[in-house]
Amino acid sequence: MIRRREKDALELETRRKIYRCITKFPGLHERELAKKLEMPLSTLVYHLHYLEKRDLIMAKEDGRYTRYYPTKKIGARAKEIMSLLRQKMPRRIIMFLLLHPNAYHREICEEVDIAPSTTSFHLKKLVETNIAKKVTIGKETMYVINEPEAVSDLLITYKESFLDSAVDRFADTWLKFGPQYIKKKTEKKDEEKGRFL
Amino acid sequence: MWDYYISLFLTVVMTGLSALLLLVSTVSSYRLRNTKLALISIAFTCFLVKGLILCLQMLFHFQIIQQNNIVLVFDLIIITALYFAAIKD
Repeated sequence: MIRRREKDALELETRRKIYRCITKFPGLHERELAKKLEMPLSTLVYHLHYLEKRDLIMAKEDGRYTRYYPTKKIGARAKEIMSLLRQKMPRRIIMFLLLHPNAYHREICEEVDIAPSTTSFHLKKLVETNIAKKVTIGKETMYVINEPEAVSDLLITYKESFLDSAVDRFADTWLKFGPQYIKKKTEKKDEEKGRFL
Repeated sequence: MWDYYISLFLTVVMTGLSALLLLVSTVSSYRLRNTKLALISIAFTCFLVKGLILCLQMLFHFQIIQQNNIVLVFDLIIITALYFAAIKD
């Protein structure tokens, strides 16, 4: 049930489009929105209710129509979360953890397909910023998102810009030059070779 | 005359690319709080400062740095390679 709800929250594109339209043109009513977004009214109404329930937008009756407005500007905490959501790898890890709470470190590595050391680097950032928390069980470590609802709401409003994608690629490229990363990569290759021999 | 325009073109392109790389590296180091990325920003700052001085030299006809077109081409190759390696898809 929880997983389904979180999966719903991650249906980003449609809701993001609606949210963006409302922030750009506050005060539009349902029919105007449906026309602007070229979306069936029933689908739009469903998503509007969802966004309203999550306090991302608010509805106001003006006697004839119900008009929609964005509720709030982004606060300090949300900005902190957003800065990580704007980076490709942390975003992928967060999305995976939202859909698979209590995932093990190795499961996250497999999903995002990056070296364990790089995964640990990003997970450390998530733990330090209190977005995720880690639970150690025996030799393995599990991770879970602290405020899944708030994070998934921000994912809805997330918008990638040129600078963000450039920053992602830049950081990914340069951080791969680290001796730690190269060492781990060599170890991984040796491990794979050993598996075949 | 052509020599002057070629130098100006190479310098402007190099300065523009350094400025872009400096912006991206500074944002990256700020967001990731990473020393290595901050050092890379310093490297791009040097490229940018050099490019700006060369541009001003050419526009206002004074001389601080002596540079010929061959060295400028090398600078441009370095900065373009870094641009494609780190930023471009």
